[in-house]
Amino acid sequence: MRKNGKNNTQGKAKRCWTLFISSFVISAFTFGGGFVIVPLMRKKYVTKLQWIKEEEMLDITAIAQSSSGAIAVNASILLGYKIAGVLCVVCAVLGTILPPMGIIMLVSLAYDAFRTNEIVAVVLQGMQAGVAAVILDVVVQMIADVGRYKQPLAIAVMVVAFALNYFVKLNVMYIIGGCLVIGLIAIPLTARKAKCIASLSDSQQLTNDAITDSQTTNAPKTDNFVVNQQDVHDLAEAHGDANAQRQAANSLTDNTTNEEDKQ
Amino acid sequence: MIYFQLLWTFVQVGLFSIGGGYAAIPVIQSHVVEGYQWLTLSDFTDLVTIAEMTPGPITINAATFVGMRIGGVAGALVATLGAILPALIIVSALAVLYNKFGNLKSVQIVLHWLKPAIVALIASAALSIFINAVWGEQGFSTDATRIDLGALIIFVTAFVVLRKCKKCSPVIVMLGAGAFNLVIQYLL
Repeated sequence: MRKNGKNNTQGKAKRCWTLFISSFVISAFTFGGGFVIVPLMRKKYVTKLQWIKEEEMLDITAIAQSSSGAIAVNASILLGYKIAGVLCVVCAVLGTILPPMGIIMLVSLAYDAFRTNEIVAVVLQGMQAGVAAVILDVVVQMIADVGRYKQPLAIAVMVVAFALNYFVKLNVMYIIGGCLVIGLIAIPLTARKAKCIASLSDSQQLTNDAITDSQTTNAPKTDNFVVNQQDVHDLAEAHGDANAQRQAANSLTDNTTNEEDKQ
Repeated sequence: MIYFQLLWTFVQVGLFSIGGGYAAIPVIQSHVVEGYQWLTLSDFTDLVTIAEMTPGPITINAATFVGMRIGGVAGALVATLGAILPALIIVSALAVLYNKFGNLKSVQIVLHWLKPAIVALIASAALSIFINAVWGEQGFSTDATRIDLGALIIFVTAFVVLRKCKKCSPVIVMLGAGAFNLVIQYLL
């Protein structure tokens, strides 16, 4: 992450201390299951402190969930390391485990009384409804994020995963494993598409250079558009891009349009 | 020595609680209740209930609780350390890798496809919690009398507050929900 040039130990220590306090408070209110910590962390570290971006938070959530161990602890480790290395990891983890440890130690000394206490039960019952709202709030946003992918397959994966987990009670591991497989398959597929577009941009660049060099209205060397070993599919797909780029080149606008496609 | 047994037991618990604390519960049961017989089944049920009621990850709560019962404060510390040890090692490695290679296109792609599932899992948990809050332990029912109206009101209010007020701390909202329920139950 952008360290804002604060590599000095004082800035680091301060940040780690803040992380410790934040983790402590967040952990103290993570009632009702590991996932609850996700919205809490998001509000704190993405929205409020702006230490990480939304995407990075999602990445951390994904990794934390896929690994063994409590999500809260895993996320603390990932977050802490990202923010400032080992010191922050220690701070984040301690902040996360101290509240439950403290509370449980107290409770275990008098747990019968705790379990049957009416006020405790009422407050917890109310908090349950609150927790439901907190999680739903973040779920709605996350679903919208996935929707923004504009990939029907991603939405299908989401729906299927939900159905499998909620109705079929399929073990989380299989669902995560399945998605990892999809992701691994997607790597060569996406890379090939990106390479094609990048090659196209490269040829476009050459073409533009040729135009500006010659300063005449020579027709662009069209054979630059034909990339080596193109499938018919990819060529047809790229053709749309190529036309748009060719028009841009012909009107002698600047080259920056190529860079956007390279994304 | 008991501390070593505690440590080792909870290292295994930590190692097998993949995807969430609930996966750890059977592991805990097989070691703590059946294996070492440190807890009776009834104690174990209490443990699960308390671990649910108190904040923090179930695994940590369970470790502290069992450790405390078996070996006092030292036991609690040892057990909890055991519970987080696998995560410390594995996730630390992943953290380093993510920091170094996270920007790699291939890593981004894999994570990209992992996210819809993560969202789905969280949604699934959210639905369970919602139904539990409004309909109670017995689950969903079309019978209108089974709905806990107070819980429903709290839920809707909290949800609206969260949606409208982006800066509002969810922690305050949760506390407010708890307090609100006190009001509902005792004053109305």
